Amino acid sequence: MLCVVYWLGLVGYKEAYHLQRKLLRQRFDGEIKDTILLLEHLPTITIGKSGKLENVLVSQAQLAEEGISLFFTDRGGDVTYHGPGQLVAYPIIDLRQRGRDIHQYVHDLEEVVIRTLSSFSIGADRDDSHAGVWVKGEEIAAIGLSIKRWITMHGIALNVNPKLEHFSFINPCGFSNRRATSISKLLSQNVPMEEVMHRLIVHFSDVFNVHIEWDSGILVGSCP
Amino acid sequence: MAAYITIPKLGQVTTEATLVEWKAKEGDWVEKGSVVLKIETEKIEWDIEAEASGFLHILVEEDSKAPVGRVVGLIAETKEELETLKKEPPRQIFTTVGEAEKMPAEVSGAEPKPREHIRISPVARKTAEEHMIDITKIVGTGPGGRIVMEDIEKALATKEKAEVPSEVYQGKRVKASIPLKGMRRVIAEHMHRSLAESAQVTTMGEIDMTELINLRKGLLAREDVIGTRITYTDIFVFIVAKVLKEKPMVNSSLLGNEIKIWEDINIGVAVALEEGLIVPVIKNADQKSIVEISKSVRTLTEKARKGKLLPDDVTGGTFTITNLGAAGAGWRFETAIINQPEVAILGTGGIADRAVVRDGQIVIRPIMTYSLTYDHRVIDGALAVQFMTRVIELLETPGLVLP
Repeated sequence: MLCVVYWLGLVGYKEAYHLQRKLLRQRFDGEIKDTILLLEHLPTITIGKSGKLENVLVSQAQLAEEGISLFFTDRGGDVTYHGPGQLVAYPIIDLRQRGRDIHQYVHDLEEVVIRTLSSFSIGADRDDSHAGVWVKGEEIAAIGLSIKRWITMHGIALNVNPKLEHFSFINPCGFSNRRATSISKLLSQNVPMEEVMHRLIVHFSDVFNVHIEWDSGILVGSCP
Repeated sequence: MAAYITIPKLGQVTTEATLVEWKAKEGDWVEKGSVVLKIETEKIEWDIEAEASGFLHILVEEDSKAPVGRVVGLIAETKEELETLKKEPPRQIFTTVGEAEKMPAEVSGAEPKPREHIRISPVARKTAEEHMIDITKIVGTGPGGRIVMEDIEKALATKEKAEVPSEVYQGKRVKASIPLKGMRRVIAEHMHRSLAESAQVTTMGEIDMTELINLRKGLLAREDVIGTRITYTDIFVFIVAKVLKEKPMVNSSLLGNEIKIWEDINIGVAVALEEGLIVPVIKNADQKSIVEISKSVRTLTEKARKGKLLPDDVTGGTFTITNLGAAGAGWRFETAIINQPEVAILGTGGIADRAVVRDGQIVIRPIMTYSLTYDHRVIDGALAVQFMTRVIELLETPGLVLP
């Protein structure tokens, strides 16, 4: 099966959201193949369907000062932070062709991240009670999804080298006692985003058993 | 001691109300005096204000009905009290209305401080999510800086028209999705039920308004003496009340297997509002002078526009008049829908000059259209025409009202 990957660069949360919605519709109608959007977001805190504003620990004034946007969004999960230095992957996948197994899908996403980290000699694990990827109790990748008519959207946020102080503004995923970490922090060196991105896609191709095609022809913000 | 949020008795006939919307979530901090719950009874939406500040504990959910006197929510003074309340098994508390008024004075000692966190009402949150509104940029104008629906609406209105791919349903793009709630829902159900349950026929025609216009001019000239500005609606109410007295079958209701002919003649006058429409009622219109009718109509219309009508103002009607001409003059007819459980409704159109034939000559007269919808289960065509003929007679020759 074919999967098309786009690197969008730095984009706003809202713009990426609308693009996902458009692609989801097209994927549902069979107009496009399985697609993955890779990108980085401007500093943004998002609150999922089961998220509580109480897990945003600062005032609007402080958010404005730091230039952090705040959105309520339609993915599952609680509160999370996105920002430059964090690799965001939004697979728009048709689960009708994958046995309609949501549990398996989440498991596979985690597997992709775990293998990618392993290739950097970082040993990461799952938490069976909560989607995401952890290294020694600290969260290195958040996973939050929305599945509409068996097409997936939202996805993974993997911390390569984001501003970790921004994570202190929230209780990540609703946990008041768990912290966030990143590849750069764990390795004590800066790892280029491109490198992480390519390895992630290689492992995605393995785990999901797809043939990857990189494409550059997509515009964020242009809609029918 | 938690403060009560109770269903008040808003009118003589009020026995229950529907909870339309909680303006705060379970556990949220609410400020004394802020609107905490919207209820709806007899098509009136009523705001209930919090009688004390504290943490909200909801006992009855939105979209349910509750009888007058039922305690539908509690306001806990402290978080600990809130937790205690949440753990208690669900219970039904009733108060005799009026009891719940007296609330204990402010808590002695330190009052629980509202958190520094961002706060938002559930409706505002839902809408913000739908439209992907950046909350950092929103100024909250609710109590304590809370973000409320109005703030989100303002942001939506001022945001640039960024192209947004719309939701598509059955091949059509959605511009907006509005939940059917409150007044809109009541109107929808009422109108549909009226048509489904009765046999509505509409008879339409024209009325020569020459004499009536002269009469009204005369009345307007004497406004300071009369004490009020008489409108055509006032005159319609006055005259229809007289004719209903002569033809009582038109002032009745079919209830079960019985036609109840009403002693009281209570005429409703439809008022168009932004959110829909409402029909305040002039009670005992047959016993009122034109001046009294005029004052009643003016007061009720004002109250309707300000959202201050009470259930007693909109219940007990036996006949309704609706002014179709208010939306713009013109030669227009309409099959108005009967306001249940009445058996007829009179719709009056705009007044416009038309060419008519009088004594073999074509002349110009001010003509008003009318549409009378009646329930054929109770009223046959002959009676409807007799009723209308008499109304037209009095309108075209107002002097006949004198005897």
